[in-house]
Amino acid sequence: MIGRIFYWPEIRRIFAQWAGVVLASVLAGVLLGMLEMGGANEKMALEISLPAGFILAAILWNLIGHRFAVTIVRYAVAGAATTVEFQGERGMPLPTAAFATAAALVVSVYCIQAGPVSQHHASPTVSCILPAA
Amino acid sequence: MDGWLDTWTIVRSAITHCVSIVLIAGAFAGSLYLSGLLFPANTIVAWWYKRLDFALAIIVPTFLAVLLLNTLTRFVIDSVRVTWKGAPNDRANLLLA
Repeated sequence: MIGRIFYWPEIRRIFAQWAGVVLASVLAGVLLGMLEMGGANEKMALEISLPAGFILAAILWNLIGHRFAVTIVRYAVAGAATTVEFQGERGMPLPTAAFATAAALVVSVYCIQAGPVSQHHASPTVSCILPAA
Repeated sequence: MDGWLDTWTIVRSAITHCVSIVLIAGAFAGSLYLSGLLFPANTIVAWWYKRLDFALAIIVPTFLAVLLLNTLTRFVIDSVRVTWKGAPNDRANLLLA
């Protein structure tokens, strides 16, 4: 039961952090489009918008991590000989990052390998309206 | 029992991260797909597909890669410190939180 109590803030923090990364990506895409409409060529627009998106994503990640940080709480487990200390995390804990990124990279490699087929079936109507490269 | 709890904490956090990003990015891409079906000639959908989803597909995997490198670096540093100073000086309780 105690584990569930401490687990909910962790879910909120993780979900909010990834939502912040997606928000930063959207803003970077908007900046990319504005630069292209303003007359900048595609290479220059990418060189400006993507680093801006990365920086904004990192800032949001840390800000949200501190906003949803879990404080240090000591609690006793019934039947246990010692008192267990729960150390709240600030930012992404190390093993979590390892497992999450490894899993994400495996999925990414799989998606890249199956890229042309899945991309063809993914959004035919959207790709039809795009201007020719 | 303690070891099982530590392991479950790690696996639980990893699953939470993976499910979170799949849900958020999947909702974004799924909305784009449905919008493309409903409004095939819409300018906003074209903008969405060409710029917003493009930036999302670049930034999120790169952000994951940066986190992986950061994690591996911290693993190495913590291992060196534990080897140097001994087991009581490790930060396992922080890393597993």
